[in-house]
Amino acid sequence: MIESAIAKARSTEPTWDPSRHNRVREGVERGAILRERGRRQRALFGSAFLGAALFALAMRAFAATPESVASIASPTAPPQALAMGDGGLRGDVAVHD
Amino acid sequence: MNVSNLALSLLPDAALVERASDDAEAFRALYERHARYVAGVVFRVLGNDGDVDDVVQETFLDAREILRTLEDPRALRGWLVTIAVRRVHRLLRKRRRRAALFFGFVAFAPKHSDPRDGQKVSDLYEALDSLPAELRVPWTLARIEQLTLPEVAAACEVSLATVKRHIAAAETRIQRRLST
Repeated sequence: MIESAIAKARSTEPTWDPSRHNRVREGVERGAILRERGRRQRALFGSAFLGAALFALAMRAFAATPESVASIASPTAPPQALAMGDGGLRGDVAVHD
Repeated sequence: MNVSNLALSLLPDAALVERASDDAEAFRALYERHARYVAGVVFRVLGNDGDVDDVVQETFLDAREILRTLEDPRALRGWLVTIAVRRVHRLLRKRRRRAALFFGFVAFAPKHSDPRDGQKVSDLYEALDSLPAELRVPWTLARIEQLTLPEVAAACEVSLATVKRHIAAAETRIQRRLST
């Protein structure tokens, strides 16, 4: 039984006519374009995301002042201590005002 | 067919592979030469199946992307079969997952009826549908497609010993299924 089924399966060919052949070929060509486009878009979004992340990091680094660094280092510092500027209250002075 | 296409169609595989990464016409010539063979292999692994075209299309798309990684251009046909087998594995796994999800209410294969199919072949492919892809694919390649064992091992990307074990296991299960 199995041998005759195998022999029959062996002799069966797909109906690979020219229209089917061309349809699949067009699918390959269209698919290649879509995949290439998708790859470019992913690369574009990837670099945009990376750029935004680097920009945000750079902004944080440039915006850092000795006081903001101190506030990060000392989480118990009162909010007034963060108000900086000439004549502003700083650190312990603000607490004991 | 214009003159340049005719010239391309006369080139051997190795020369076409060299050009095909950058030249769409060369890749098209490769497709023209090998698509029918790949479709035949996929057809015999899946049975009379509506997914053959999709698998062939995905195979050539994958091939186009990784053509530069082909070490021996003379082995192009076997390499295409390896890619097609990967795609078939993926498709069969997806079908089994879907069938498991719907508790077997969904048939494994979206087969379209073909009056030329004999009952025996239908029974054989029904038996094959009950096998996992790891057993089905090497058995079909060896017994129906008549590839040599090293060729089957290369196509399935497993060792020769594993292929022999899988084919023997598949044979036993198919025999048992067909005899009931």
